[in-house]
Amino acid sequence: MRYLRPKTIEEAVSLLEEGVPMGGGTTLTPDRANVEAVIDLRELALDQFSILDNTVTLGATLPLQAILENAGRLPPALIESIRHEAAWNMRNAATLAGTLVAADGRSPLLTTLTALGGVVKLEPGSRETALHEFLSSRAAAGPRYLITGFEVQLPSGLAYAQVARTPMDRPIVCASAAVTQDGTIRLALGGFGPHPLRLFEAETRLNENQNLAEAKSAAEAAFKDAGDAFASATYRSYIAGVLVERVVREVRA
Amino acid sequence: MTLIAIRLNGEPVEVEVEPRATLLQTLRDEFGLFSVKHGCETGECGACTVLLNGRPVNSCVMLAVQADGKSVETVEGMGEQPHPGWKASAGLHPLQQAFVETGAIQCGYCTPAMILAASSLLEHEPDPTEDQVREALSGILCRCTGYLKPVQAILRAAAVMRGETVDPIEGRLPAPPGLFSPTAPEERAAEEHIAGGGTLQVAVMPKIKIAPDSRARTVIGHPEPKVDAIKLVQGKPAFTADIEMRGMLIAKVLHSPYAHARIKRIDASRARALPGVAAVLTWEDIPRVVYSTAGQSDPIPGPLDTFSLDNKVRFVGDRVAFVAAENETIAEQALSLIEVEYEQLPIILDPERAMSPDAVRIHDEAEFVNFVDSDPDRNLAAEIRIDIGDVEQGFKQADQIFESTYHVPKVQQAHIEPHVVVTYWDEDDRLVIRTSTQVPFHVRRILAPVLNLPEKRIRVIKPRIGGGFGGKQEVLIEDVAAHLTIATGRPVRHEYSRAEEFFASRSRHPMKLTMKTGVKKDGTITANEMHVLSDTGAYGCHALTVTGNTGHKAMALYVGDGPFREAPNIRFYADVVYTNTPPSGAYRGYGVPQGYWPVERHMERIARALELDPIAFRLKNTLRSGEVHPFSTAWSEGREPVPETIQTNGLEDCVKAGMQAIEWKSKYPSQAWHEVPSAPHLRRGIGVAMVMQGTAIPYLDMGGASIKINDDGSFNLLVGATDLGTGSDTVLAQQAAEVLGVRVEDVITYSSDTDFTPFDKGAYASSTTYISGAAVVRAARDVASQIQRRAGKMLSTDADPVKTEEIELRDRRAWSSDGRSVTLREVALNALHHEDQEQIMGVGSYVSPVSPPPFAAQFAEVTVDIETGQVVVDRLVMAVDAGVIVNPLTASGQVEGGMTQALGYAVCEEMLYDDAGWAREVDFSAYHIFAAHEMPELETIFIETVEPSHPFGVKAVAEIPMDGVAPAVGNAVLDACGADVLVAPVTPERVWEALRQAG
Repeated sequence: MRYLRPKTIEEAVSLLEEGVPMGGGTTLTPDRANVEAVIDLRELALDQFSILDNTVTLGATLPLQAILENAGRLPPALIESIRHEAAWNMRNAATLAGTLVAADGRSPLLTTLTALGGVVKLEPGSRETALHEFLSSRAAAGPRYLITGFEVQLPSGLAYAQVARTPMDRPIVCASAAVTQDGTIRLALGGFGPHPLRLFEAETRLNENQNLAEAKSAAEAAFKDAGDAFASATYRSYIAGVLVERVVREVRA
Repeated sequence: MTLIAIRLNGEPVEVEVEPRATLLQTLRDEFGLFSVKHGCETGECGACTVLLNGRPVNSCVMLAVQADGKSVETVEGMGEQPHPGWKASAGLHPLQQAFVETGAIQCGYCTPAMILAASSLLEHEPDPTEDQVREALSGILCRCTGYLKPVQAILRAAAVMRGETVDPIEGRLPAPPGLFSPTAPEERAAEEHIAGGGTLQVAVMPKIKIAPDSRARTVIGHPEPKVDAIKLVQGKPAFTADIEMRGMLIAKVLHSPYAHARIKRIDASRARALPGVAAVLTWEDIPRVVYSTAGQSDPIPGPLDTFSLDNKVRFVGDRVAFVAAENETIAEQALSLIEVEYEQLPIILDPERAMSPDAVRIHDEAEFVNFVDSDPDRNLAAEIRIDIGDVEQGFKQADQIFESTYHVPKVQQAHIEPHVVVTYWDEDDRLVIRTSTQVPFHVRRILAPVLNLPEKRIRVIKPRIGGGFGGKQEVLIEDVAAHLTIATGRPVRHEYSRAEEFFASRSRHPMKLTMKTGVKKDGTITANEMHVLSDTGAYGCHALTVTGNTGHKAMALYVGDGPFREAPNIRFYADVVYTNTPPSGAYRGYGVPQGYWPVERHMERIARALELDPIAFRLKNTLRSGEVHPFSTAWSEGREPVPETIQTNGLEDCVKAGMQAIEWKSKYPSQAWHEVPSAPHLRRGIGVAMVMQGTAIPYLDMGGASIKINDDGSFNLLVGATDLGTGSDTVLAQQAAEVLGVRVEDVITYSSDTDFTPFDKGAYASSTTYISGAAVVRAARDVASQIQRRAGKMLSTDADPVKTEEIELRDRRAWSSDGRSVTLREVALNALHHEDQEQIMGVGSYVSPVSPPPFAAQFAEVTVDIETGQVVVDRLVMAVDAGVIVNPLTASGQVEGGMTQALGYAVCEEMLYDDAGWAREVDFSAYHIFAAHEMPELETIFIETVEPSHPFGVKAVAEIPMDGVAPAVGNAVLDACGADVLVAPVTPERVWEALRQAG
C-alpha cells in the first residue's frame, strides 16, 4: 500500500485514480486489505468551520468532536446526534466526510443531516450535490471524487428521536424533523438500509396539507419493508410513524 | 516504507513504517509500548487508546503514518514506580494513584486507556461533573468494573489535582444507622461517609452489614489495594502478548465458511510455498486425538468429541488449517492460498430439530467417547433427569398450576483481552505455554496426549489476564500455537481477532425452559418442575455441567412451605443437544442465569395471578438456614451427591436491605410513582429477583498453596489459583497476612505456573476465595506454628521458658504473653542463618465437602416508553450474602461489573445466525455491551454471614451478580406497563409485542 500526502486540492484530485482519500482513517483502516494507496488529506486545510448569517460550512476533514466543541448556534439536536454517532475516542478522529461516505441507515448524524438538507461539495469541478442525492448515489461505481465540505442553512428548529436497545446503542429506528427559516418542514427517517431516507411524501402532507396523520402514514409506508436481522418491518414501520409524529410536534413547539 | 517523526511521550523520535501499519502495531512492535492494547480491530473497545496531540484516539484504526508530526502519549510516559531503591521518584500520577486506591482496576486491560482519556479531560476541564467523566470514558469499553469505581477514581484525582483534600479509603465501613433496621423510616440511603473531615467523598465502598458474630480482623475486611494494581496502572508488560521473542511466528487459523461439511480435499502446497510461511498444518499432518476443550477436572464430565483439526467442520468458524508465518500479513495471505474442497452437509441450527429422527448426525466420528447418557446418534450431548420427591403428587395437591415457556439467548463473555497464547521450547526442550487462561493445570493435562508430549515436558504459565468470565475456562487455542511450535521449533504467538471471538470461541448456552408450578391459594408451592432444551452448539464442552447447574441452583431456591418444605417436590429434566453453531461453553454463572430468568419471571407472574405480594410469596417458599439443599441428595457436578445443610442464609436480610435502598415500599404500591407527569408515554416500574449460586463444587474442586519465609520476614505465597482480574492474588494474600500477623505488602503472591505453584483446579465455580483461601490458611497456619515454636525458643530464658501456644503473631512480630516480642525478620534470620537452620515453610490443600450457597436479592428500576417499547434501566440494587467479605473494594467491584454484564443479558445482548449459520454479530457494533455514558445507578449491599465451613467465614461473590438482573428487569417492565416478556433480552420490539398482546 502506498501513502500519498498531496499539498493542494488539485494534486489530491489528480491522485484519485490511484488511491482512496483518507480523513481520520477510522473506517478505511479496518478495510485496508485491498487498498492500493491512501491519499492523506491533512495538508489541504479542509477542516474549516464557519457559520455566516445562517449558512453553516463544515470542512470535509473536520473531526466530529470539533463540531461538537464549537457548537455555537448549531441546533442541540444535531449535537445530540453526533454524541450518538460515535464515542469520544472515535469523534476525535472520525471526520464529517468520512461519515458522509461510510455511514449507513442506522446513523443518527446522517439522519439529522438528511433532515437539514444541505449540499455536499465535491471536486473535481467544484460541484454541489444535494445530500439525499449524494447518499443514494454512493453505491454506484463511477468517477472518483473528493469531498471538500458540506454546506447547509441553519434551521429555525431541529428535533431528533430514536429507539434503541440501550441509551447509546445504534438506533433501530430514528427520525429527525427540521423547520427551515421560511417555515418548511423537512423529515428524515433512519435505522435501516444503506442510508437514512428523506421523507418527501410525508413532507408534502405536512407542508401543503398540514395533515400530520397522513404524514405519519407516509412515514410508516416508507418503512413497510424495513425488516432485517435487528427488527421486523412491522415494528419499524409502526415506530417510524410514532417517531415522526414526535419530532414534528417537538420541532413545532 | 515511510519515515515519520513523532513526539513520543515527550521525546522526538523517527521511525520507518509500512504505510499499512497501524499506529497500534507500531507502538507495540517498534517501541515496545505494551500498555497500548489490542481488543478489537474497529476502534470500538478503546483498549488501544493513545493521546494524539493531547486527545484520545483509537490507535488500531489509525495508520502510523497519520501520526507524523504529532505528539503521541501513552501511560508509560505518566508517573513512575514510587520507590525504586536509592533513586528519587516523582511517584505515580494522581490519576494512577486514585485508580489504585479506589479499586478501579480489575483486570487492568482497559486501565491505561481510561487513565489517558481522563488525563486529557482534566487537562481542559479540571472540575468535571460525573456526566463529563462518563463522556470521557465513552469510547473505552470495560467488561469488569461497571465503570463505577473508575468514574469515582477520576473525580478523586481531579480533586487532588485541584489541591483539595480527599479522605483516605480505609477501614470497614459500617452502614449508615438505620439502613438495616426494619423500623427505620424510608429514606434514600445516605451517601457513604468516611470518618474524618475531608472535603471530597468518593462513593466506592459498598454498604456492609457486618455480621455480629464476626471477629475483629486486621486485614480481612479491609479495602486493601490490589497487589497487581501498581503494575497495571503503569501499563507494564504483564499480559500474555506483551513479550518479544526472537524468531517468533504469528499464527492464524483458516476458518470454515460452512456450518456443516466434510473436507474432501485440502491442499496447502501453495500456502507453504509463500515466502515467510514457516508451517501450514491440516488434519492430515497432526495426530488424530479426540479430547474435550472444557477446562475441568479429571475425568472430563462430558463427551470427548473434538480434534485439533478434523476432516469435518461443524460450524461456520470451525478450524480447517493452521498457518505460522513471519508476520500477520503473510499469515493472512497464506490462508487465502489454502485450497479446500468441501462437501456440504445438511445444517441443524434449530435445537428443537436436533433430536428428530431424520436429523443429520453432527458427530459421527468413530473416536467419539460418550459420557453418561450422551448419544451422538440423536445429537444428544447430555441428558439430565432429576426427580426430588414426587411432583405428580404435588400437582394433585395444588389449587392452581402455572405452566409457561421461556427463552434465554446465546451471549458472549466479551472479555476485552481476546484469547491469546505464546508457545515456545525452552532450553530444556520443554514446551512452555504462556496463555491467557483460567485453567493452567487443566491445559497441561488435556493437551499432553493431543501433542504427544508427557505432562512433565509441558509448563503452563498464566500472566495477567484481561478478563475471562468463563470464556477462558477452555483449552481454546493453546493447541494451535503448540502444534505450530512443534512443527517449526520456533516461538509462536496466536491471538484471536475480535471477529474470531464472536464466531469461533465460546458463549453461554441458549436454552428453552418450560416451567410448571403447582401452588395453593395461600401461596404454598406444592411442586416445581422445569424442562430444558439446551443448545451446546457444535461441540459438547460444558454441556452436561452447565445445564445440570441450571437445575441444581436455580431450581433449589424454592422448596415450598409447611409439609412441602420438609419434603420438596422438584423435577428437573434437560436435554442438551448439538447444533451447527459455535460451541457454547462456560460463562460466569454457568447455567444459573439461564435458570433464574424463567424461575423468577414465573414466580412474579404466579404472585400477580394469585394477587399475593411478590416478595412475601417468594420468601414464604424459599430455602432457609438449617434446611437441606434439595439437590444435594440428587445431583452433583463432580461426584456422588452428598446431602448438604444450609448453614448460612442471609436472603431475608438481603431482601429487607434492598427494599429499603430502592424504596420499594413507597414505590411499588404507588400509582403516582409509576407515572411520569411530563411524559404520558412513559411508565416507571420496579422489580425484584431472588437468587442463589454455589461456592465451588464439593468433593471435586481442590486448591493448594505453599508459603515460605524470607530473610526480612516477608513471605512468598505460591498458589495455583488463577487471578483473572478478580483480585484473587490479593484476597489470598489478605488471608495469609491475617494468619501471619503481617501486612498484605509482606506477602508476595505468585500464581498459576504449573512448574512452581501447587495445583489448583482454576478460577471457576466461584471457588477461589473459599477453596484456595482455605488452602492458603492451612499453609499459613503451618508456617505460623513454625514461627511460634522458634519465637518461643528465642524469647525463652532458662528461668522463664515461653510456650509455643502463648505466642501471638501481629504487627510483624511474635509476642509472648508478657509483652516481649521478636520481629519476624529476627525469626527468619535465626531460622535461615543462625540456629537449627531450616526453611520455615508450609503447604496446604483444601477440598470441601460442602458448597455453601451465597444468596442475593436483586432489584431493578426501569422506565418504559409504552408507545415504542423502549426500556431504560435506571437503577440496579443488589444485596448479597457472600459470607464474610475479605476485601470490600474487590468484592463490590465484582458485583458492579457482574450486574453490568448481566444487564446486557437483560436488554441488548444476543447472538443470532442466518440460515447458513453465519453470525449476525462479529463486532461491538451489532453486539452492544454497556458503555460508561449509559449506565444505570448501581448499588451494592453486603449482608455478612459467617460461614462455618471456612476459617474466615467466606462464601463466594464472583458469579451470583449474573443471576438476578434479567428477571428483575423483566419483572420491573411487567410492573411498569403490563408487558409480559418471556424471551430475553427484553428488547423494544419484544416489549411492544407484549404490550399489544396485553391489549
